[in-house]
Amino acid sequence: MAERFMLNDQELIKGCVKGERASQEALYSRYCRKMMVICQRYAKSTLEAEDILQEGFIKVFASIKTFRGEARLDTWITRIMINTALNNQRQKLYLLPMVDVADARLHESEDVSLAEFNIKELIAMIQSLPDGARVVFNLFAIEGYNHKEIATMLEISEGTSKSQYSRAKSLLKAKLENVSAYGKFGEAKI
Amino acid sequence: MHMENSERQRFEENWKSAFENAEQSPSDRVWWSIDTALTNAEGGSMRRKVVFYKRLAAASVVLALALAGSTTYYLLNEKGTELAVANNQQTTTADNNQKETAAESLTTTTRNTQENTTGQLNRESEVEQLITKPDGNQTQLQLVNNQLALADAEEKSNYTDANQAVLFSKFELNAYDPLAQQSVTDLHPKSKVREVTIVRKLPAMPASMMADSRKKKSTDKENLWAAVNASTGSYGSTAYQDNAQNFLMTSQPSSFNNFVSATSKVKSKGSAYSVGVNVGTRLTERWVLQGGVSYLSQNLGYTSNFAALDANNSRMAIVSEYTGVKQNISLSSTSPYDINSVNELVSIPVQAGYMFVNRKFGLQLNSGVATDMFIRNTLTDKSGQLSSFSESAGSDSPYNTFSWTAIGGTELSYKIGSQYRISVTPGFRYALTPMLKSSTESASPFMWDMGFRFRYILK
Repeated sequence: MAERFMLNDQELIKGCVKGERASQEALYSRYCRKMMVICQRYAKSTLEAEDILQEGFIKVFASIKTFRGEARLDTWITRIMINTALNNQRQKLYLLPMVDVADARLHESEDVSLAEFNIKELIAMIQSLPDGARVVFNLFAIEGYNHKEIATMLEISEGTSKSQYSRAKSLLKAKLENVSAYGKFGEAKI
Repeated sequence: MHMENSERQRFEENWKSAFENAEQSPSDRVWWSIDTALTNAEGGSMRRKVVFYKRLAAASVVLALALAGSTTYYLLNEKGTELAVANNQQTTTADNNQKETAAESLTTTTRNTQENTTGQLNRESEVEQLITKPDGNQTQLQLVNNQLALADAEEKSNYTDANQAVLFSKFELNAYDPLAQQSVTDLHPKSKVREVTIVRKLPAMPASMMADSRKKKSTDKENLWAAVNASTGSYGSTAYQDNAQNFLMTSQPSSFNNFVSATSKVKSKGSAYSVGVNVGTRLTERWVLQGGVSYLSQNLGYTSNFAALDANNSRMAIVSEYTGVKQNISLSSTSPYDINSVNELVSIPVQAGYMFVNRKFGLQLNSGVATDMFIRNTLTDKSGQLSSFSESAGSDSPYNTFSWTAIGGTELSYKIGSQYRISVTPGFRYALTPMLKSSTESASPFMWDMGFRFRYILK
């Protein structure tokens, strides 16, 4: 089993294409922690993130024979995870449709450094955002999509995407300032 | 503005870099769930394969049963026909006095029936007696039926006054159903049709579901397919047509060298089967076009009282269709014997189909034409005493080389997986042009069949 973990991506892919469970487990073990963070950013809770992670990896194994090696394997898996997370979120977004946030303003204040926060705290901050704002923030700020692309992906208007991002940014800055001023908080309430 | 942009970029960069190499361990339950799901998927794939083969086996059994049923039906029918022919022959040689006596007794019985108030009972008892007579045969039964039919006709003639009959029926209607005199509106004078606007609220539907509904159905992928098909059926003659021709018997012994009547009788029922391949394509959402090629074999029974002679004076089975086209054929009179006539054809059908139902279950109506190319006719003596006679298409054959047939039918299908569809195809063939060159067509233009089709969807 340990030998499997020493294999490179190409060898693991070959094993996964053949349906070898040991290769699948090795691939999962190699990338699950990185992907877990991505899922946590899009989910409202750790439990929901694990559901997305599980669904995403099942899709990875089901479609790995279509992987042509044009991109890095982790990039390809990341894209599947984001799509799975968006599919998961899209249903919620349509049940609670996003609207333009008229009073959203860019918080004009001094820049707060993220260096003093650990990854769990940052994830908790993002998870505390409303669904629409959280998804748009992830796509714009971390994944690097522009508002036009986000509007197409989520089937919303570009204006809605911008206003949701402004809202997310405003809320996050407020949280960061709050924590800086009054001390750190633990895991965000779900 | 510039400061705002740089501050904005810095904010995003900070978040991006914070998550760049971030890792969090999921709980062990995630892998267990993935492992279970993968195992189930593998099992499901295996189950689907098993189910496919089970269904294929079931379809094969159904086909085998259909073929066995058709064959049994044909054989029993043929036996029944032979018995009927034998009885008829016996009847012609039976004592005519016996017939007359039976007819007289029946006439007397019928008269008694009309006069007697308990005529119904008498008639039934007489009929029973006649039926249960130990020496009763088909002729007596037919006579009984004829006399009963005559008696019924006489009873009906008592009601010749049509008006009386109408009055009687009206009286009965009025006596037992007073509502019959009223119109429907009288029964409901106050009822009015009110216009009602039905407002139907549609429930909110998540966009993902709406997106799914926009997806094309799996059946839409059936644009081109290839299929193998087999069918079996029956077709009938024009019922005991005598293809009698007078011709000079030139065979030995010389006692036959005179004009005699050579007769071949066609049996009422024949059977047919076909196997073939075809391809089909979808023209529009509902319309399809199908074509292919199939081998068709038609069997028909004859009773003949003459045989043909080959160069070695060996006798061959033959029917009177050949006497018109084969002028130099040597013939010999024989006692009546049964012949099995087999016509082999290659049929090229082209059909247009309309799909009424196009889902997992399919219902399709097909109609088109087929070009039939005659290959060969083989005549075989069922008793095996005479040798077989075979004639291919050509000028010496009484059969046209090409003929046209209208074909139609229904296709009831079931889709298996994404690539296969099995169907049963009840259908008919109707000869647009005669198969025989001469005008004396022995076979009915109609042929019914029941087929089985296995379709492989190419794309």
